[in-house]
Amino acid sequence: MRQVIAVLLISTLFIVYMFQPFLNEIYHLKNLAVQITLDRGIEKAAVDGKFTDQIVNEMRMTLSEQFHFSIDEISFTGTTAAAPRGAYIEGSLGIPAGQLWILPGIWGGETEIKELRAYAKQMSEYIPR
Amino acid sequence: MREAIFSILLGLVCLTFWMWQIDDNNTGLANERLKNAVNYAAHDASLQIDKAEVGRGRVVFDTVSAEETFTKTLQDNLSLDVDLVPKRNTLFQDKFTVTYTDYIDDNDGVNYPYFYENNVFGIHHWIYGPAVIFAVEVPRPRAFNMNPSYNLVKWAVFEYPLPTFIR
Repeated sequence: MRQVIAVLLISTLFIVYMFQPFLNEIYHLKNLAVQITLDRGIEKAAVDGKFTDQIVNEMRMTLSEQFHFSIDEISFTGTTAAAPRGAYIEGSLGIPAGQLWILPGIWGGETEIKELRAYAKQMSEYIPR
Repeated sequence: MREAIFSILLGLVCLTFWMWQIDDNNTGLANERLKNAVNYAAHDASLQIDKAEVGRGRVVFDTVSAEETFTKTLQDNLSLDVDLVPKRNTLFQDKFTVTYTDYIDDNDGVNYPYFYENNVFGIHHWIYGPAVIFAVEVPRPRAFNMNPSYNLVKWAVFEYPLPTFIR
């Protein structure tokens, strides 16, 4: 009986030891991906003075194709009305965080982060003509 | 008993690896956020030109406004207070310092393209028009106190963005 308990205990720990680093890495890469995607988006948005539908769709497609999120899971809020040169535009892009812990019931199930968001703000270069 | 000791020892090895991994990931994210924020701030600073000089066909930066704008954009993107100290529960932990500021504009009488060099900050950059140069330094956020401490330094060179219809 003692051996059964020991094996159960050790195998649980082994699962955590072996697989948790992969989840940490995936979480980190998702975080970077959303940052980089928004950075590319706001660079284009600064020229147009707003996040056009095309820019927002490009960001969604990038995350959808590269990271296989459903388009509906990707949320975006930001400046969609043209801001004149020198006015601030901002954008916030969010993706589901996914599973952070290999055994969420034991570690951090309650405090798990549900969404990864990136935020960016810079001035518009757009001159209305 | 042997199994328990083995698990604990293995746990310690894994814990050390996790601590390194979380710290490394934190630094990677901090690098990305800092570089992006410095880029946005330098971009916004590059839009601050002296309008009276534009009337004379010259691009001259309004340095006071450029520095204020740089600070404001940096604050907004990285959740910093007016002293450039990060707010609570954000990625960074220590005060930011704007360590270097320079402007190349029509007051300098340089010919473009111009090779801008600053060996102290390792800036070697071709510029094709009037530009602002900023560098920012901040201690890297450490996930655990026992992780080594060093500063992250990011610089950005941003040319004055000409209106799209005359590019």
